[in-house]
Amino acid sequence: MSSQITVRFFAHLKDIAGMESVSLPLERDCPLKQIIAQLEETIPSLRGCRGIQIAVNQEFMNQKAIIHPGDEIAFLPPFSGG
Amino acid sequence: MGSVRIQSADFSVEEEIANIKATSNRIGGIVNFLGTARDFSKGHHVVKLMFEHYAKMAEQALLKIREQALKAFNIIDVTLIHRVGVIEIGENIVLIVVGAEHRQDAFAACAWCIDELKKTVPIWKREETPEGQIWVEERP
Repeated sequence: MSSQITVRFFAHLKDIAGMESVSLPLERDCPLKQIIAQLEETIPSLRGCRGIQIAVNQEFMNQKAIIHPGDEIAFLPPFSGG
Repeated sequence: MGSVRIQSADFSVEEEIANIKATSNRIGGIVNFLGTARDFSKGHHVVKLMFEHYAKMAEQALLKIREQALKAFNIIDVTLIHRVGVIEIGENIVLIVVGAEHRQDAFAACAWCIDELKKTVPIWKREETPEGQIWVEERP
């Protein structure tokens, strides 16, 4: 079983984060809120981004979600397809 | 038969209309929306576009739109296709083809599908302008 999670950034959030994705160690279940807080500490400019939705394993989640080792978290800015 | 696809290659509007038409002899009206790349946006020139997507999630979101449209509207079939990657000015971006017995249902479903696509499918547009690259966030 994986002891990591993957965090992915899309569109302009890649520029803000300075990366497309990052793997973070995660040994046990952890609230999403806590992981976001840690990321915002590492990447403070994420805090100022409006309209971001979070997906966990390709499903929209709110910050009450629990993250498990092996999960994929995605930071999704407002969509602009079409 | 209708379908959903996300692809970098261009698509043939005629072929997609023919596919929908072949679904059923009950179809009496086909409405399509074709989105294309324009060279001007919000006061600035656009040289080309680039679309990025969250692959698996975007495909699932398109499938969901198709399923919901088939349930919510009195239509027979629908196809949704979105291109990703670099798109030159004038090229096709997105296609929705709806087949129904009657035109009112086809028009309504087609309008709903493109609005829903813009709201719910994780795809992002980046404009390349003479002044630099701009990620687009709003949904006109």
